[in-house]
Amino acid sequence: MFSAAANILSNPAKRKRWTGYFTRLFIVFLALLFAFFPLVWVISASVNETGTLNTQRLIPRQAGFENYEELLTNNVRPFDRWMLNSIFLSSVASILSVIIGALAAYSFSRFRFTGRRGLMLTVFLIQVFPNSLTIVATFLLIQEIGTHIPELGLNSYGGALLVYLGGALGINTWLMKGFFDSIPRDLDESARIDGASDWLIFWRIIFPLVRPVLAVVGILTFIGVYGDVIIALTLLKDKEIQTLAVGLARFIRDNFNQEWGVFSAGAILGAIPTVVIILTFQRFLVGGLTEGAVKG
Amino acid sequence: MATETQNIKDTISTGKVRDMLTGSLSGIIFRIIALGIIDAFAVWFVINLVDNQAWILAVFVSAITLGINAFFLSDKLYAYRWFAPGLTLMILMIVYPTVFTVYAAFTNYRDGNLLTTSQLRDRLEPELYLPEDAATYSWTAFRTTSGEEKFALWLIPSEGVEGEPLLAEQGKLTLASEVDLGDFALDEDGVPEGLPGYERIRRGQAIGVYLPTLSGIKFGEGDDLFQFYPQRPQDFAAKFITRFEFNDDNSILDKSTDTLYKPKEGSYYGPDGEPAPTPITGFYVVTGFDNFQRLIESRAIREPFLRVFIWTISYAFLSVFLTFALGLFLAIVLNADFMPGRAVFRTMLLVPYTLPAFVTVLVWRGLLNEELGVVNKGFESLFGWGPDWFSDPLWAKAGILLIQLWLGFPYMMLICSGALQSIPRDIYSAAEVDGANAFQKFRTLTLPLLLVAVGPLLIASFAFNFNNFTIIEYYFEGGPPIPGGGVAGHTDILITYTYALAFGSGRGADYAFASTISIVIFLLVATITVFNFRFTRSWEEISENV
Repeated sequence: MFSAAANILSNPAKRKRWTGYFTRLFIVFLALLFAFFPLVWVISASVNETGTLNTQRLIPRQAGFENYEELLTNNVRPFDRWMLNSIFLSSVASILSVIIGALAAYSFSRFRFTGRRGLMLTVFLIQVFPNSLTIVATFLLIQEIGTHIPELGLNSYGGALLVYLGGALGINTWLMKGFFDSIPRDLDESARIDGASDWLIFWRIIFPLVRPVLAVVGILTFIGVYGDVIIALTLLKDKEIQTLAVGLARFIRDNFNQEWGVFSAGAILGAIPTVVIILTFQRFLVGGLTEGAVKG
Repeated sequence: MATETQNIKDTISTGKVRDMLTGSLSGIIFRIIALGIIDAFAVWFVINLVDNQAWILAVFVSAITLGINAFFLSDKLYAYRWFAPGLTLMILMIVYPTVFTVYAAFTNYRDGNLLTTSQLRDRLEPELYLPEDAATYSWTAFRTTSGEEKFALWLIPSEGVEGEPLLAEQGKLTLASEVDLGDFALDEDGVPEGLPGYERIRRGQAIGVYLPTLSGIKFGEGDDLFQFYPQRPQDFAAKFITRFEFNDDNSILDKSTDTLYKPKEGSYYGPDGEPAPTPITGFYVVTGFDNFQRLIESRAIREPFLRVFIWTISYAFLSVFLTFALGLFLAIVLNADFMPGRAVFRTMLLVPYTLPAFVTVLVWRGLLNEELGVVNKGFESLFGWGPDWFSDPLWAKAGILLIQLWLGFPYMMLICSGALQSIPRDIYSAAEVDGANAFQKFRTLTLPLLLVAVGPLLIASFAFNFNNFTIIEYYFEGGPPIPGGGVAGHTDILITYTYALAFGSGRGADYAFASTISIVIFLLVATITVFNFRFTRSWEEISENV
């Protein structure tokens, strides 16, 4: 034990390595402190039964799950409803985007037709401009549609979904098309000789084989819609139809101090879906998250 | 067999595929029926849009419908069938709003001019007024006995008024002498005890219970409309006449004052130049470059806009710079292969990135609370002073960057780690032979190679933060306000400024000007994108991938 330490100290190369190691560890420690500082406080606040910002301490005097209970039972702020709205909208948007995108990617991958190149570049370019840029026109459009078809208007799931699905063709289509290209054509052709239509080939043969890329696109869309603020804030005004991103903000905005404990409980529950999804599929997603812009 | 396969390949590659199953008779019938339903719906929708003078949208919906029909009826366009849902949504939800934004920027589409002429007409048409010499009637109310609750008035002319007794139902007017009374008889005042389908409301009840409901109803039909006499509703009803008359040149005659209001740039003015009274509002018209001119020439608009503009650029740049610096630093720290538990640390440091941004911002907003937040309590106990994270413009910006750093560094760490690992080790050996120290190696080898790899992602991140609505809006709604800056605040970026102009409370909606600012953002994002493609030559790569 001592001889090992003496060995390290006497060997300059090894000593340098050990100081490097401890410096690095110290830096990582500081980084973790920074990363977990707000998390620790918000977790502590959520179990602090006095429940205000003012009385918050790192280790609460009186710990318990009262804030969570209050959050889930008090109907002045229908937290469960917001959470369900968020999960519902994100799931539906995610599933439909995947289907819409996969249909387009299949055509891009398997057919050669006039306008193909132009269409692919258009699809690529259009997603450079996020639909938040035209939020005013989008609001007026949904309002206009809603005067004729209320199910697709303001304060409706349908209206919000229309906007979310507007971006279904985009970089994701490219991602999928690249993956589709890697599925050998021989598969399609042997099925075709057996009398399968394009639709059958797509649905029964290709679709199951490209599940990994569909999952990546689905998860990214889910996270995107779940975290959306600008569209939900503009289109969904009623308390009952709001998403978590809007409801949570509105209820804390009025009274940061008094509601702090309940809000913290809501923040933790509200963060769970994306935290779990991203950490679970981390490796899987890194490609999709980081390569996005350039790779086809 | 071989030729058959070849044929199929040919048909696939030319896109002239005849579907083999759906080409059957039942398939074609199904397709025609589906198209019929879509077309019927589209026609109904377009008629409604035209009726509402939503011209541009009507054109778009028609074009989309024609496109869908072409895709599904022409074998040549077979490959496009697969795009039908995606393209429909893209054109309707992205292309149309873009076109409308450009259009709105050239109009005066703001509070006071929010309607089309037909909407204005619809709104003003029901307005009635009571002429001074109006005929008054005493009334008796009736209520339907079953079905939807409706009312009717039995009207008897007041003394000195010429005319006959009338039965005024909702949407129907009949001379009393022509009414089929059924089994009911008239009482001594000449009012029936009841009517077929109606029961008579006793007078006390009519005044005590039903007066507010009845006062809101227009009885009769066409131009013969009766309402209660405003000064003595319990005693009299009177014949009202429509108040406004529209002329073909869009001017409006207010018959109650006999004044003609003429539109100028969509707003109405009287003969002496006075603005028209409510309920007359304006309609929107194309005003050309007015909004752009205001942006450049009006000091009150230009100055807050420039502040917002500069902060937008600084904010996006600083966000990328700070998160990249910290992310790269940590990636390098964790890159040493003798670090045990690297993977665990990396995952733990990823956690801030996994939280939805709206949760992160709201949590930090509480922690940074000036009087009660834990951060400032810590500051107070250590230095006896704490930063004004919200009320002071500079500290507010610092707070935003702090949050941005917290939620953004893990992503940068992630992409830098990947890029670092892809740099081959042996390029460093030559530098080591030349006696380069660690910093020199970093500056001349690592950094340039890294920037080539992550450069496009940094620019994409810049473009994203350029429009990072969530952080700015949820931190302090763009506040603190710029004195004399209208809706603009010190931490507003262009997208939140646009939002405040259009939807901000208190000052009324200015969709036209918001659209003008949107166009400015468009141009900036387009510039960044072009620069990105030029700089990284990724466009060639993209084009090759097609």
